[in-house]
This record gives sequence, structure tokens and C-alpha cells, in this order.
Amino acid sequence: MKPNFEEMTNAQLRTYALEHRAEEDLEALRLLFSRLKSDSQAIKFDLPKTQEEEQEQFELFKRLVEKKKT
Amino acid sequence: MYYIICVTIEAVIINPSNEQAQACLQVCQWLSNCYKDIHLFRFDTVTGDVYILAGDELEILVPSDGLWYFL
Repeated sequence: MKPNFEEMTNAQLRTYALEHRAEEDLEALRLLFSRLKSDSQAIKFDLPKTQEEEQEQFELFKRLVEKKKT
Repeated sequence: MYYIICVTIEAVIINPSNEQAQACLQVCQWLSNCYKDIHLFRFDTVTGDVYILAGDELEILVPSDGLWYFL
């Protein structure tokens, strides 16, 4: 029997999705990402049009990845 | 003596947009540059979104319009 995904925290949904990654059922993952997308903290990226823009975006990406560690 | 082996290969056909495919390639390369392992990469055929779980707690969403989200 599947757990009630709505009652699970984001961390629990992530763990469940990773443990069941060989299955094609995406319900847990879809719910996790729909929650995250509506989160105002989400940072939006666009495809870079110039090399400078790409470099700037990558620097921001690196900073965000580093920040997640702390 | 002959053996007959039947194999069913199940594969979901995915149709990403050009922008989405490019964004996914870029995201995966950047994660690699940052020494982050990609644990899960999935195309959702219902919503058309790509879900990426990487590192300890990195979540990236790449919708079909090519704009992508770091969450």
C-alpha cells in the first residue's frame, strides 16, 4: 500500500522518491516538485544568450550549491 | 540446440523541448563541475517537467519552456 503523500514532509517525499527510483510511479516526486515550485524561495534561471551571461549564471549556481551545504 | 529468449524492454518515450534538453544538459554539467552526484533524473510524461535530485539536498526542476528552477 502506498503511503499518504500529502501527509509527508518534503524530506520524506525526497527519501521515498529516491528509494523507489526504479519504479515509473512519479506521484511522490511530482508532489514534491509542485510544492517546491510554488515556494517563493525558488531561483529561476533562463538559458544564457552570451558567454558572459553563462559565466554569471554559473557563479550564482555555485554560490547556491555552496549555500545549501550550510 | 536452440534457446528462445524473450525480453521485454520497457521504455517511456520522452519528448523534451529543445530548450528543455539544452537546459538539462547545462544543469547536469554544472552539477558535475560542482562535484555533485545526480541521484535521480526523471522526465514526467504527464506534466512534461524534468525532475533532478542531486547532492545532499539539491532539487532542480526543468519545465518544457527551458526556464529552470533551483529549489
